[in-house]
Amino acid sequence: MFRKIALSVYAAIALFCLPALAQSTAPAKSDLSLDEIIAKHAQARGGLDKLKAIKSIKMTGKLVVQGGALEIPMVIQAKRPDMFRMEMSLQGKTQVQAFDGTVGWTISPFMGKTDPEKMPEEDTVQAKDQADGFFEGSLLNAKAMGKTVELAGKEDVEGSDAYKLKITDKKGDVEFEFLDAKSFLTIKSASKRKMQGNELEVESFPGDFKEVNGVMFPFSLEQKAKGGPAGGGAQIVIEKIELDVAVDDAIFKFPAKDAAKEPAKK
Amino acid sequence: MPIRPYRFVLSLVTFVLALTTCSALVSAQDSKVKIDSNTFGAIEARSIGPALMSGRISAIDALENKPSTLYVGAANGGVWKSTNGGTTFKPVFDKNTQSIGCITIDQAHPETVWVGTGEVWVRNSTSVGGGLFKTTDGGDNWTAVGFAKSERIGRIVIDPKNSEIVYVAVLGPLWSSGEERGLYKTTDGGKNWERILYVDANTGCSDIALDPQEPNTVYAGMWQFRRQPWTFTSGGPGSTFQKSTDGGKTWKKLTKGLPEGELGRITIRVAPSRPNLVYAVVEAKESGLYRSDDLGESWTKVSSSFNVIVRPFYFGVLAIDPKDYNRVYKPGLTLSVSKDGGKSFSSPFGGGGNVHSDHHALWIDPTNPAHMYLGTDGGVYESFDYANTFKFMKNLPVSQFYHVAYDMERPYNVYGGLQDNGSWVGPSTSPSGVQNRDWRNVGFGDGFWAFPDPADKNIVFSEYQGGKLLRFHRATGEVKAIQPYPKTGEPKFRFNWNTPFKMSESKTLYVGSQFLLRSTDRGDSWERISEDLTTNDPEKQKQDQSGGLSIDNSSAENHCTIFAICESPLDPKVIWVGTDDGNVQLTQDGGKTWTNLVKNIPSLPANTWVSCIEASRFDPGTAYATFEGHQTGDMKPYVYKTTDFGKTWTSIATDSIKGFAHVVREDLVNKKLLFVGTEFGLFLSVDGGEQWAQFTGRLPNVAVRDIAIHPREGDVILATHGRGLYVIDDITPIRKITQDVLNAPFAFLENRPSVIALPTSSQEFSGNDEFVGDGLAEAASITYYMKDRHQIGEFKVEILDSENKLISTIPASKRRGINRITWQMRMKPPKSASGATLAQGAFIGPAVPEGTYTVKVTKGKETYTGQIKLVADPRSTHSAEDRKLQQQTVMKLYQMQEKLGYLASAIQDAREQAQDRAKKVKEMTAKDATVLTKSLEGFATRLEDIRKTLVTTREGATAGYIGGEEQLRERIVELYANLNSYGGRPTQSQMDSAGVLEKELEKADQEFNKAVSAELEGLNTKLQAKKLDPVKVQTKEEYDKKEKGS
Repeated sequence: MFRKIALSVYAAIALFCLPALAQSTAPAKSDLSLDEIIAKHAQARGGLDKLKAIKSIKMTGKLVVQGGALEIPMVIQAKRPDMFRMEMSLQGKTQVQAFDGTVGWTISPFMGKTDPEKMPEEDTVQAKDQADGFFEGSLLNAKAMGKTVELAGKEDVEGSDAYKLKITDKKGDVEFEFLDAKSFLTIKSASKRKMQGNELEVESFPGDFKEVNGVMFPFSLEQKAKGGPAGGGAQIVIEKIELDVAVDDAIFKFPAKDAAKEPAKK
Repeated sequence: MPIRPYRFVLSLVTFVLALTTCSALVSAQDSKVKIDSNTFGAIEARSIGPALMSGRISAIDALENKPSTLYVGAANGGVWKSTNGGTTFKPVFDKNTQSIGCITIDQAHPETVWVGTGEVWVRNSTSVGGGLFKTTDGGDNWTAVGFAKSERIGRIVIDPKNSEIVYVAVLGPLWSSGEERGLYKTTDGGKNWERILYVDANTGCSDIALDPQEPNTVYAGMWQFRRQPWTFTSGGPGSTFQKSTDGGKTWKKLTKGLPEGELGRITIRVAPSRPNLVYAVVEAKESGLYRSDDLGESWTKVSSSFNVIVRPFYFGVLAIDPKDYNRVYKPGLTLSVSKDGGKSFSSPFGGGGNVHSDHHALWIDPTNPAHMYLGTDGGVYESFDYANTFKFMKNLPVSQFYHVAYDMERPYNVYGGLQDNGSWVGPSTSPSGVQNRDWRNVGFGDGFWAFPDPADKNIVFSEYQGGKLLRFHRATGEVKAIQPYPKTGEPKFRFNWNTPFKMSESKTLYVGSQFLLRSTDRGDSWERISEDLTTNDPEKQKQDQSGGLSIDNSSAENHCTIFAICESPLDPKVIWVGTDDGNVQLTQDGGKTWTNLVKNIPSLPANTWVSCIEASRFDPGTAYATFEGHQTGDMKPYVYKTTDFGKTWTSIATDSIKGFAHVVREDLVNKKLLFVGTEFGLFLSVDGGEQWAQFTGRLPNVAVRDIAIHPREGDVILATHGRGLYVIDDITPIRKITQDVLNAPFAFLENRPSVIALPTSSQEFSGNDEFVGDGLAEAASITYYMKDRHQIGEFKVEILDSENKLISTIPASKRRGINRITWQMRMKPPKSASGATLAQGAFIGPAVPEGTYTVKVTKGKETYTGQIKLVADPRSTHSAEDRKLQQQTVMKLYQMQEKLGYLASAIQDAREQAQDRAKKVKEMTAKDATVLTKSLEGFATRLEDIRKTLVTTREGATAGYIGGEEQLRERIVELYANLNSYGGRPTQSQMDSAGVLEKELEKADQEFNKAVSAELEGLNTKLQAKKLDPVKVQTKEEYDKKEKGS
C-alpha cells in the first residue's frame, strides 16, 4: 500500500509539469498545429508570464484511498530552480520524499524506521525530471530537459475530445498528455514508469481546476493503473495552493541524522 | 512461516444504495440527444474468466534471444503478451478485432510485431478478422496496415536479412469469394504492398516459407476452400504449391513427386539447420508429409500417418527442430514427432504429455530446442523436455462460451458451455476474486447450453455437440445422458452443432432437432410437439460428403435444424422457434399448430439463419429476433421486432450495430432497454431500438454470443466467444436513462436496492501465474449522469447520516456520461495515537449502521442531493440486536482510541515542554538551577513512563515490523480490528476485555492527572520566577486543531 501512496505522490508532482515544446511534427488528424495547441494550453493555464513568475508553491491536501475509507493528509512544496518535498502523515508519522536539485531522499517511518535514506538512482532520475518541470513545466524547458513533443492526433478521453501529445525524453521514454479540445486544460496523462525493473502504466486524470493568483491549477487528481476499473485507483484532493510563500532551502536537503528523527513540523 | 506485517484483511461490508432520482433533471429538450459508448461511461463489465480451461489458441511467437517474451494469439480472444515466460499476460489488442490469424515478431527489432487477423483454422465457429496490424512499441499502439477486407491472414514472414521486406499470406474469406486473396510483399516495412501471387477469388494463400540463407527463395501454398452452413470444401483446381527464386517476381508450380490431381491445404517448413531440406504436408486424395532435399525441386512422400494428415483445415501446422533437421513435429489432433526426417512418427508424450487435444501452434526455442510453447484448443502449454511433460498457463481467459445461464444463490452462479472445453459452473463474484479453482466442470465435449434445475440445486443440465443432452448431479458427480431418440416411424433427429436446449420460465425443458421436443420430467421422457419446422432441404443434408478432399463429418455442418427456441414468459402456450435455414415458426396453442412467419419479415434475405428469438415479457404478441447470414457471406446485423405475433415485423437495427448478430434481449424492467450481442461486441438501445450504441466499458470488441439478465441483481451476464464470461453489475442506472436524463447537466441515477457481503478474510500466497477474475467491489455505488465533463471548480460528494452529520467526503468522478463512484460505507478511521509503529488495525473505520443517508453533491456553485438506503446482508445470521451490540462495542473501542490519542499527545506535549524548560534552566547560573532542572527532568521522565504504557515507543530499523512491543494502544486496536471484521455479536471475552482496557485507559488518564496536579503548579511557580513560560497541558481543542492540520 505504501508503494502505491508513493506513486501517487509522484503523479501529483507530475501533474504540475507541463509538456515540453519542441519541433512540431504534427502527423495527425488535428485541426490545430502543435504550436497553436501549446499556446492555447498556456493561455488556458493563465499565461506563460504568470507561470514563470511563480517562485515557490505549497500545496496542502489529502490522498483519498479505498472509496474515502482512508484519507492521508499531504503537503507538497516546491521551490525554484529544482527543489521539492512532499509529506504524508498518518497517525502522527510523516513520510517524506524530497529532492534538493541533486540528492533525492526519503524518510519512511511507517514501519518504525526514521532514518532518512537516499533514493535509488532510477527514482532520483525521476525526481530530477519532475523538479525541472515543476513550475511552468518542461514546456519552457524543452531544450534544457531534452524533451520533444509531437502531436499524436485527437482521441476520445472519457467522452471528451482531446489532443494527444506525445512527449519523449532523452532516454526515449514516452509519456502522453491529453488536452481537452475545448478548454485546452490537461484531462489525462499516461506514462509508463519503470519501477524496480517492472513497467507500470499509470493514467492520471486532473480536474477541479481553480484559479490561484491568475493561474489555473487542478485541485484533484484521479490516478489508476492503465486498464483498471473506474474508481479503482487513488485520488488526490488539493485543499489549498499557496504561491511564493517563504520556504527555507534546508527542508529540501538530505537531513543530518538528529534532524531526521523529528520530521519537519507544520 | 513467513513473517509478515499484520495485515487487516477485511472485505469491507457493503450495503445497498438506493439513490432516488433527484430534482436535478432539466425539462425535456426539443432535439434528441444521441447516445454513444460514452453515454454508459463508467458502467463497466467485470471479466470473471475462467482461465483454467483457457480457449483455442491460433498463433504463438516469442523472442528468439529472449523466449520469456512471447505473444499469444487467441482464435477469438485477441493478442496476449508476456514478458516473464508466461507467469503473467496482458491483453494488448483489445481495441481491434479479436480473431487472430498469425503473429510474427521482427526478431531484429523486438518491439516490432506484425499481427494478421482472422483465424485460419477455419472450423464452423471461427470468427472474422479485419486486416493486418503492426506495432513498433511492443504492443502498446497498433497501426492498421491494410487488407481490411481480407477476413483472414494466414502467415507473415519477414526477410531475415532485411526487416523492410515482409511477405503476407492473405487467405481471404471463408464463406464467400474474395478479391483480396493472394501473397503480398512489401519492401518498405508495410507502406506499399505488391501482390506477387494470385490464383483466383476462391483461392487464398495459406502458407509461405522462406529459405533463411537465400531469402529470395520463397515457397507458397495456395488453397481453394469454402464453407457453407451445411458443408465444407477443401481443395480444387486453384490449390497449388509454388516456388520463386527471385523474391516473388516469377513463380513455378512444384509438381515433381507431389500427388496427382487436385490439391488441398499445403503447409510448408524449411529446415532451419539445412535449408535445402523442405518439408510439406500436402492435402490431396492421398494426403501425406512430403520431403524435398533439393530446395523443393523434387519431393518424396515420407509419411501418411493419421496425425500427420488429419483435418488439414484445422491443423495446417508443422515445426522442425531448429538444430536437428531430422526432428519434425506435427501438431494435429495431438502432437506427434519424427526423429528420422519424417519417415516415422510417434507420440513425444513419454513423460505424461497431459495437454488438451487440437494443436494449432508450436514454437520451439532456437537456442534450446527442448523448450517449446504449444497452443491448443485449450490454451498454451510450455515444455522443457522435448514435449514429454508440460506446464499449463492458467492465466489466459480466452474461453469461448456459446451460452450462459444463472441460478439464484448468493452470490449467484453462472453456467455455460465452451468450444471443445465442456460445460462449467462458477460464482459470479467472490471476495478475493473469481479464481480458477472456483469453477466446476459439469459436462464434457464441446459445451453449449448449460443451466441449473431451479427445483433441485444438485441438478445441472448441459449438452455436447450434435444434441447430446446431459444431466449432471453435483453431489454424486453422476452424468445421465438424456437426449431423445426417434420413435418408431420417426425420421432420424437432426441436431445442430449448437443444439438449442433450454428450460423455460414455466420449467419446461425444450430441445430442438428438426422437431421441437419437450420434457417436464428433467429429460427422462420427451414429447414431440411439432412436425419438421425446417425447410428440410435434402441438398443441405449431405454432411457425409462434407470436407472436400478430406471428408469431415463431425456434426459441425448439420443443417436444416432448429436453432432458437423461446417460450413466452407470459403464456407457455406461445412458443417461438427459429431454424438455421431461416424459418420463424410460432405456435399459440402449445405446439398443436405452427405457422411459419418468415415471409412477413421485410428485407431479410431468404434462408437467413435465425440466431435468436426473444419473446417479450411485457406483451404476449411482442417478440424480437436476430438473424445472421455470415456463413453465406452476409455479415449484416439483422434485428427485428413484432408486436402482433409475427404478422408484421420492423427492422430495429441501425448502422451503429457492428457485426453479425447472435442474440437480442429485452430488459426485465424497462421494455425500451434492449441488448444485442454481435460478433464484434455488445450494443444497447435505451429507446426500444431507435438508437444503438456499443457498450465498451472494459469489454473488448469480442463476440457476444449470449446475454442473460439476472432478475434479482439486475446484472447483465455476457457469454463471450473468446474472452470468457463478463458481468455488468447492476444496470439499474441504464434502465433510468431517458431523454430528460441525457439532457441534464447532472442527474442522479438510481442503483439497485440490494445488499452485499459480510466481512470475510482469506490468506494465500499462490504466486502470480493464475488468472483471477474481478470480484464485485464491496462498496456502495453512487451513480450519476453528466452531459459534459466537469473541469472547472470544486466537485465533491458528501455522505450525511439521518441527523445530517457528515460521514464521508468522496472525490467526484468527472467524465461525460454515467459516472459511478464507490463508498465503503464506513466512518473515518479513529484518530489513533502516534507511536513508534503504525496501528494498521486503526486504518479502517467502523461500518456505518443501516438506514437512510443523504448524498450531497457540490459541483461548482450547484448542489444536488439524493437519498440512499443501506440495509444488512441477507445472508447474515445475526439478529438486529447482535449487530447493534457489535456496532456499539466497536464504537466504544473507537472512542477509546481517540481518547488515548489525545491523552498520549497531551502527555508527550507536556513532557516536551518540561524538557525544553529544563534545558533553558540548565543554561542559567542561578543557585537553584540544578534542583529545578532535576525536578523538571524528573517530571518529564514520569510522564514518559506513563506514555510508554500507552503506545509503542521502541524505534529502530525493524522494530516497527517485528519489535513485538504491545502497549495499551495496540491492545485496543487489536480488539477493535477483530470486532470490526465480524458482523455479529462479540464474544463475552471480547466485551469483558473492552471493559478491562477501558479501565486501564482510565487509570493512565488518572496517573497523568495525578502527576500534573501533584507537580505542575509548583514547577510553574518556579519557572515564572525565572521568567520562563509555564508548562501547559494541551487542551482537547488544541489537540483537535493540531490533528486537523496534520
